Amino acid sequence: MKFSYSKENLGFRERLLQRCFEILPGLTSWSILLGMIVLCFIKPLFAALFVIAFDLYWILRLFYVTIFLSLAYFRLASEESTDWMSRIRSVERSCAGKQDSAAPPLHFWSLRRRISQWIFQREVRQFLRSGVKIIDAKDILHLVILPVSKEKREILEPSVLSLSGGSFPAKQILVAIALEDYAGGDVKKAVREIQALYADRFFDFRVIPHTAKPPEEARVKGANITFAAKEMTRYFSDQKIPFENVIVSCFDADTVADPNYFACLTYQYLICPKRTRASFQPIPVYNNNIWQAPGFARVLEMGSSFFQLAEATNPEKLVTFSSHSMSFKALVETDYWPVDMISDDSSIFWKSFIHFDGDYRVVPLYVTVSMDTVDSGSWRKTAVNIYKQKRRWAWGIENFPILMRAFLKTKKIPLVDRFRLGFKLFEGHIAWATWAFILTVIGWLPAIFAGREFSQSVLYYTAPRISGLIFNLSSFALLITILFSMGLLPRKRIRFPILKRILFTFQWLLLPVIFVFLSALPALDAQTRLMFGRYMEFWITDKRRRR
Amino acid sequence: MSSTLLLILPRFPAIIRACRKKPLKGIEGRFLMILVRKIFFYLFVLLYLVLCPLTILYALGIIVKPGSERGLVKTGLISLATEPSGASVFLGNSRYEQKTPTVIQALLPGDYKVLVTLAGFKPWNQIIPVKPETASVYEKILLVPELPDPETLVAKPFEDIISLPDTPYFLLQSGRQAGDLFVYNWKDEKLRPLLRAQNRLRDARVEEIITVSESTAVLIHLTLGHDEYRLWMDLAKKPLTRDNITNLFLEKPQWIRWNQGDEESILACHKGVLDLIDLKTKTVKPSYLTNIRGAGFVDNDLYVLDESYRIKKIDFPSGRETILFQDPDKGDLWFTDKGFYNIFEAGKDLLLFLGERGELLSNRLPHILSRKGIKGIEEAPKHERVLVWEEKRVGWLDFSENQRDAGLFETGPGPVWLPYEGKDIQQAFWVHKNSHILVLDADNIAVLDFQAEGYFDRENWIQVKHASAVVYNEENGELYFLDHNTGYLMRLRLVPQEALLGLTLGEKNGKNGRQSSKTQDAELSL
Repeated sequence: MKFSYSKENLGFRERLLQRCFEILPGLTSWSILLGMIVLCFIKPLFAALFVIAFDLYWILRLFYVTIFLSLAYFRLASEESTDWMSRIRSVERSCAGKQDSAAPPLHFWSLRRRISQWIFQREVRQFLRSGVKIIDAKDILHLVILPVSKEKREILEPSVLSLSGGSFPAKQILVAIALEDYAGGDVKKAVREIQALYADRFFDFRVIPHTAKPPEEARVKGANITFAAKEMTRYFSDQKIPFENVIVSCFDADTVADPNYFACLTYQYLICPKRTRASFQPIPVYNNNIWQAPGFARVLEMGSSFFQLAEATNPEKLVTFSSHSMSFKALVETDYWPVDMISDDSSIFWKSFIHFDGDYRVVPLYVTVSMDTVDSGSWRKTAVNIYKQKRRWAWGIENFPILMRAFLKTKKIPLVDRFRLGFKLFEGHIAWATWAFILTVIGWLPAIFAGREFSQSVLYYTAPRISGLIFNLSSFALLITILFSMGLLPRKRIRFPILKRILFTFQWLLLPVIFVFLSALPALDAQTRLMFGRYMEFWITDKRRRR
Repeated sequence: MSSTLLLILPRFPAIIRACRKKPLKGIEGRFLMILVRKIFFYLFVLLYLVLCPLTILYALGIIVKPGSERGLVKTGLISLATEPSGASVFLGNSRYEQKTPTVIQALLPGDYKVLVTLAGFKPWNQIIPVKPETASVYEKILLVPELPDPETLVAKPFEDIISLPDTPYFLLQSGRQAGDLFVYNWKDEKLRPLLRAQNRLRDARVEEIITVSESTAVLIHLTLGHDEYRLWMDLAKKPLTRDNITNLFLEKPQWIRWNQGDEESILACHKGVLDLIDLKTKTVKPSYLTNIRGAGFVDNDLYVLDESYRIKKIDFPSGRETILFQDPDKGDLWFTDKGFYNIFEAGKDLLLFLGERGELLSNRLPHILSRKGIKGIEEAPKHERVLVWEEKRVGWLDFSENQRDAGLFETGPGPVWLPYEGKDIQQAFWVHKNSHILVLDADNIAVLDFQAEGYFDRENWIQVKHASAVVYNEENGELYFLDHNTGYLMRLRLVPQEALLGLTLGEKNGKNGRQSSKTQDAELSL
């Protein structure tokens, strides 16, 4: 479907629709919150009943997510020691009709390895059944775009190093630094130094300054990486490299890829029957500087990782987030990332989904990419920066009005899919902005502001007890989360490891406060801005690493 | 529930078939996870559809009754909390497994005999009616010690106690002379003489001691031979200041007040004339107001009732006047007490007028609360409740909105008298968040529990020194009194320490906020 994935240059009707759908999320969130507060005063009994029904829904959903978080975690742990290069060779042999002898003998007690092997065998069988021709792994070229604007050398260099230090041959990786023209002289100098230092390790290492800025571009990351991608399109055409053989990974400047990332990505790309109709989403973790960042930042970023980990088990509704990869062919056909949107990571999925009439999906990768936790030097500054970062993430709601306009236009995407995905996007953002407030503040208002009539009802006494029981049950999910978070922590040596890990455990107790002020509030802020048409500009998160 | 199952269960094979045939275009390998997700999704939906109505019914007190009368039954609950906590609860003849504070749920409607016991305390029993979907709340049960064990604070005989409500002080009097007056600070538990040993007025006779709520100042009227002295002292100041302001009183005052927020001006009333005494400049503004029949301070405003039955609010000390009421006919009908009226605030925009003969009026319905006999009142402004007592009975007035008469013609609240037969009630106090009443009746102290309508428990168990007053401080839940035999200053904890943590600041302040205004009457007659 031909559709301009932008809020700009719209006709009157489209503009009207766009504004209506821009208003809808904020209006819904505010209506829920204010409606609940008003209900607490005028009909506390109904409010208390609603809160019980909501709390019950929340705990069941929490358990539901925890189950899949556990499954995803075990899957991630199962694939931890997987030799993806060996699997690539194994798939190639299988496709060539040769007997696969690559599978190592398994001990019966090696449950994780057995699970991994079993999944692998299933995937290969299903790929063979699909009849799709496999691409020779040697022909695969990885294009890694690293956008740089103000990131210093100590941020960028480990990211570049991680690309060359993996199990996949670095000579099949092409690094493209998308350098903002407005970047400082020291940043530009550092980029050139890194290029000079590491270029020979890769297939190629290109620095693409983002110079030309057409009027439709906004000052957003998407414009920078799109400019770089277009440059690379010319490069591949000149070099006669088929776009289908190129996998583009759009990372942040601080993204440190797991050593297995490109091998795992290549394997998944090879066995994906519709590989040019899919994005590939790793699990983002924020481990680069996790021990230096304040506790609340750690908890919040770990929460984001877990959300993505649980989402990985839902490929039907998975959307790209942060660092991700996709077929370069699909990227070119989709006309690259939006150049006027902040949420380029999720926008590219929606844009592709619409462009390919719903024939587009996200394949989860059970491998991690590590990024920096927000750290601005002091607690106060870090909290402010986290707030701004989460508001930027929550600004992903900007996709909703555009998506709705597209969904209303197209008939090629099944109605069920349109409803399902549209509702998920909408509900996810509404839940993000409202749940924490209902759970921590509004849920207790009926009891606090109870009038005489309500305070003498059975409900007045039972409601807080039921809520209390539900919150106690939720501690079970919290416990699992804490255990998993310990498992996801980086294994490098730190001072006072036991003490730090104990502190890390207790930091999870900050969760209610953090979720209200550094998650729900920025989300509500973003929706309110969109509601009033106060569009946000891209803002680069402050990240630093201490030696 | 069964219908929900019927709705969902048949769909499972179809879901599995759908997932197997076409799990997700292009990513067939994820079939298993999608299937697992769908199975769990429908299981959780089912769980929610079953649990949600059951939980809501339970929350509303509706239970499924088994047996021959099976079906949904509306129940009620009893919420019990005692001070001190940890008391055993008996419901009828059976002991309830939990101790106080506790909520006994799922009770079928009816009357339940509840007994609360704790070793060392008098048992509390009550017939509690339980109504469907309603909570019967008894959360302020104050367990009274079986054998009170008061603590001796000062082993020295005294004759009387004079309260300075809402301050850390009270005065102790061991004789009729000024040298027999002592100041006791209950916060640091220190006693000191009011006058220094070399003060020449130590031998003067104490005629009158005037205190005002929330003020640490006292005005003492002394006579030495034919000379009269009026000493103004601020007990909070160190060293204690003593100003002789005798000359500032032009006539023998009938009524004296000062604003607790502004202790630099005193109003003295004599024969309907209010003189304004400026303590800063030591000057008097004679006849500041004339034809006065009643007055009282409410916050920084002076409310006055004049001979023409006008009620004025005067911003004090700017003097800006606002006439609130002006109706001679109604005024003549209502204000029948020929004496002076004290004006109090008992809630937001709720004024009370207490005449010298004990006539009690309010600006709210029913206006005339009592024609005579009211000896004292104590307000709980936050709750718009007023404790009233006559010589032989004690009760309360509830002005809160919920207590208003729902009839066609609103009549307003009348005094609710407790079925307590007093002998000579001298003082009364709200105790433990207005849930109990402490009464000094003749020389006995009684604690009355009136939580249940028409019910009270008489607790005559402490005797105080004959004709002496007592001081009850809600802030620390302690009663100060003079021992019946020795006259020693004693202290008895009525409200356990842990219960005080639950008192909000408003409750603490609201409790004693207005008490002094009335107790002052008793002190004036000293």
